[in-house]
Amino acid sequence: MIRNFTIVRPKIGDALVLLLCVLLIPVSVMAVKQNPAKATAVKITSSDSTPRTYPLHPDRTLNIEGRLGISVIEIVDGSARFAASPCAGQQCVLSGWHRHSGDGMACLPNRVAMTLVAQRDDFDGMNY
Amino acid sequence: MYSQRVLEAYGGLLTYGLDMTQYMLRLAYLVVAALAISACQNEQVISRQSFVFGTIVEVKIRAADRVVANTAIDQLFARFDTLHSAWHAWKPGDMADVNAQFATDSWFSPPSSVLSLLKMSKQLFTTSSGLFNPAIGELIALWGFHADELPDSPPEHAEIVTFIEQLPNMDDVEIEGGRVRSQHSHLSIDAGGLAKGYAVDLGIKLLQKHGIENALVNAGGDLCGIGDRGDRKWRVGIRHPDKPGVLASINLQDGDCVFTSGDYERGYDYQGRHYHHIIDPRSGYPADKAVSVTVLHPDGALADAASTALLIAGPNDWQDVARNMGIENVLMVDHRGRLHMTAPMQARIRIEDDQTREIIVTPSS
Repeated sequence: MIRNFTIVRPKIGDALVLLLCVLLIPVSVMAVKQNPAKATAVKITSSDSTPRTYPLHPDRTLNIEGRLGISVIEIVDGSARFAASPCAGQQCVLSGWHRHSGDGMACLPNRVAMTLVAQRDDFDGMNY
Repeated sequence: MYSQRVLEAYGGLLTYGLDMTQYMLRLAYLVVAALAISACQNEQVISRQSFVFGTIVEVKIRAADRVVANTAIDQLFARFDTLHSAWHAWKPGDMADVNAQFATDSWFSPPSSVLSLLKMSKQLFTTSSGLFNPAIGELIALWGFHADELPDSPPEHAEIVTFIEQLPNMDDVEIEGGRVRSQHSHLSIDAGGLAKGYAVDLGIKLLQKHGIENALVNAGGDLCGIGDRGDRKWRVGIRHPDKPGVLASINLQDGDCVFTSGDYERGYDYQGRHYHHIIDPRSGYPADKAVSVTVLHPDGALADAASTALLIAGPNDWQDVARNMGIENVLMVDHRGRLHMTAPMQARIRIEDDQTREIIVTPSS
């Protein structure tokens, strides 16, 4: 139990801490608001294996083994695309580059899918 | 005496005036409470994906027991696989058998999973004023959508007109007890506008049977959620139908399902026009009045069918159809990029796309 409560006079250090807190408000707001939609990584699922996540930097080319063959996923400058896939429709390839968190594309015949994710887990599921 | 003072100092108000026994008892309560809290924190979100039901299905479960959650997910994926083959519109399976039996004009007993689909389809056909019509399997096939590889060009206009003139519908399916029959020679059931919704409903029920109270089941972009993620509600992003990124987001209440139908789904281009697989039974052509419709409702099967029916209805007529189907939460994107929505939907969603220019809200009736 607090029995000997005394009021302490604020010192210069307290004022400095307070000032720092106030100054940090806009900085933290900026940090949170900055580009929430920009993806930082791509999650790739193939057949029944565990999904793996690859960062969108540096640039690289991934050969993902699917049911029909190899799907080639290219990562360039923070974007990802299906560069090639062994399927008839080629919809995954034609969909082009993806860079927004939540975007995704699958080559269903080959059972390879990619979803772009951000560092901050904005959404638990995408509806489309 | 010293220990008593220390206890008072640490225990503060709670222990003031208590003797040692009472104090120990309270301490025990505290320990139990702390353990309970840490047990809650041990609950983790298990996330798994599989290529079932002709799409990619993702299940997220928040549960303390990993083994139980994984067993439940295994069973869900297996069930989805079974249902997919049973309900497939053009590959061998229960539905193909049922369609073959319909062609005989005589009574027969379909498998129970197909019977449930037929009963639901009849009801949804009526409440949607015929816009949701799964009896037009032949027309969908004519458009080339009953194949893994899509055609290069649409069918002849005359063929479509011929089909529309003798359009089969769900009233042509007669049900008596467990037996069914159709006397319409062109009736063929394609339950594609309903099957995924019904499957997700069944998937959620299966998880609940395993004691799971917090889960999100996402079947290729259509999903239902129960409970929450722990630190917050399940949050769903609705992908923009016209461009990359997210149009809006919804925090799911316990049991909510979110289903979207859009003209960007399965389809092909011919001479600069896009032909997609959601066919307007009135014209026989792909629905062209709206770009996409999102429906929020606790019944996945209803949400699935309603999103199809409302996409066909379009921006001028969807309100009456929604009311008849018992749907309160609707979001529609039209060809001018405008958002149409009901007032209850406006209260539930958050627009994430800052370039959204015009929102038209329909007051609830």
